[in-house]
Amino acid sequence: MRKRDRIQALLWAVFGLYVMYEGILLKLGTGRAPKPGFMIFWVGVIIVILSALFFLGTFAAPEQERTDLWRGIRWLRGAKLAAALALYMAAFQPLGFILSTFLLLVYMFKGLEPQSWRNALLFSAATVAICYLVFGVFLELQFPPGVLSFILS
Amino acid sequence: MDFYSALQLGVATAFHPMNLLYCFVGVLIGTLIGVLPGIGTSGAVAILMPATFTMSPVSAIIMLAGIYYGAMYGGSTTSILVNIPGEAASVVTCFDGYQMARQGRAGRALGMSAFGSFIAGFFGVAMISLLAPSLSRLAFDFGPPEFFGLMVLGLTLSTFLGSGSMVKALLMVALGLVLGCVGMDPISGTPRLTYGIKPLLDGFDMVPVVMGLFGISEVLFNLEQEKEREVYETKLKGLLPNREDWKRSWAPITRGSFLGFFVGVIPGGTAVISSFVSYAIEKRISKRPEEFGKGAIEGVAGPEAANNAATFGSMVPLLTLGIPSNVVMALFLAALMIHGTVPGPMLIQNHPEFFWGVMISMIVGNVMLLVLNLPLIGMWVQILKVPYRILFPLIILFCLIGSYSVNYRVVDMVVMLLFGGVGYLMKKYRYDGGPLILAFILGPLLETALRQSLIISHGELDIFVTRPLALGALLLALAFLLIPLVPAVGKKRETLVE
Repeated sequence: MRKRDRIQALLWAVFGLYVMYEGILLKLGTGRAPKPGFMIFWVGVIIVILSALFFLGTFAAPEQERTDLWRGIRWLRGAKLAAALALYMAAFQPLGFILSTFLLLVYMFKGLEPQSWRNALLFSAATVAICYLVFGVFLELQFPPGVLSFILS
Repeated sequence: MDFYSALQLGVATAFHPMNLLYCFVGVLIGTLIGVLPGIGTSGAVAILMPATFTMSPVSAIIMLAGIYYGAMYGGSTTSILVNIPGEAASVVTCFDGYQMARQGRAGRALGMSAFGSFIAGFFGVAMISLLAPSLSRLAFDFGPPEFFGLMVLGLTLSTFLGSGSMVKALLMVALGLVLGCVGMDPISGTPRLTYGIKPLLDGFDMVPVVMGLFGISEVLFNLEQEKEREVYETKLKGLLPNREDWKRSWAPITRGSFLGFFVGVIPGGTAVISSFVSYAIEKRISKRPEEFGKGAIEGVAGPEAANNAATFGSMVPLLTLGIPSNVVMALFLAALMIHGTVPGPMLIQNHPEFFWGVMISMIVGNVMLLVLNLPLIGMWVQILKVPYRILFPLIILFCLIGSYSVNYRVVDMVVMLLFGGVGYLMKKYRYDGGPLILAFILGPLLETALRQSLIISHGELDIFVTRPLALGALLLALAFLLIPLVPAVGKKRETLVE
């Protein structure tokens, strides 16, 4: 636990120094006429001070039992979902809202959880239809038509 | 405008058929969001905000406010029946509410929770109506140093009252301030931290950031857990509290209403905090403290009143000063700006129909909630049984629609996903997202106030010392930073946070 906290503290210190550097690049100005980098620089200073306090605090805190944050949990499911969302965003404009969302829902209902194909397809189709009606038609939000533009436009 | 004319205007606005409909839709959705653990009020308001773009400002805020206080009502249902808070502010209700359910008193717990929330809501609206006009007049004397002081106090308070280590919470505030700086400098127009990426010139939009940090991250975190919710199977008989229940609850409800409202008024004070403080007070002064944690109805009545009153209190700084006191109020601020209505000292004067219409609508909404929550409890229980594998795709979908519809850009969905990853890591390593979001939103306002103050004072920092309100706010902020160093207080804060 302490080692993990110390690594975090060091990462925060590096981040703080970087923020200070960005502030200097943008120019600090003076007290009378602060420039765009003024606030950024001083926030960077605060981050460095806090990271030092964080680091020093690890020496004072009692050692806690080490817990592995990644063992015994299904973290891969979250990673798969994130990857699916990234693909969805890439396909959103070309395929359009209806088709890309349908495919994403099928994956989420079927790919990540054990459901029958029938249920997954049914839930996905119903959800897309209701969402399109509510958000696209009733609330008039503009979704990309994509490959279905010949029907929707 | 005199008080009676203002009331008439408010009634006419609130009782317009479309506004009544939006109020009903808002409280219904809010209750649903509160009942279902996973999405949270901030996420729900962020997701549904784009749906209000085609409405008038009054209608938009009526609906969003309905979602906000509706979620407080709904959150208690899962706390009592499932021992899982549907909403963070209902954590405390789990302690005694679930025990009451196990003793066959679920109906009375749910009933008292609804009545307590109703009374507190009524009280909250009355207090806003009394306080806000006076505070608006006072706010005309506020300048940049006063605003700077209040915002620093709000950020400090959010770290003091938040969960986890205070150093980590302060780091979150600092990170939020940095994120708020991304985009064009508000005074000179110079691009900052944009790295030549054009979409970043406008900075990060609040809605995708909130949805990512609170919505997507929650789903990612829950997916890796194996737990299923267990709904306590009990016959819900007798939703009306009996005489003994009222005898024990009227004082906690009264205390909770006052406490919750004034905690909510303070920037950084939240419904979560007010409910915890109320519980602690009731346990402390009760003649039967040993019953707390074992089904004491006071442990439900007081905190539920407090959390509902706090939602109304939190509207005061936004409507009168233009300062959001928590994440949801920041979203309200964004909604108002999008609709071209600027909250602040001039709001009541320039838009009396808006202010009084929203006030009356909140009374109507509270009545609707009382009517909805008691008879429909059976329906909410069925909804609770919907498995998470059905719910999470819907949550993801609403987040995607919400983030896209703000500006109709895929890049906002990408931002949401990135912040979803950040939020997930924050949960793993126990960083609180609340201070980050508050700092992200207040950061640009805070920087502008700071730079204006320095320009006014020709670079002298004594402007923050010679102005009493600014000095008072900054001294209080310093006190909240230093108090945890006192061993007794630091330990108490850690215990409360755990």
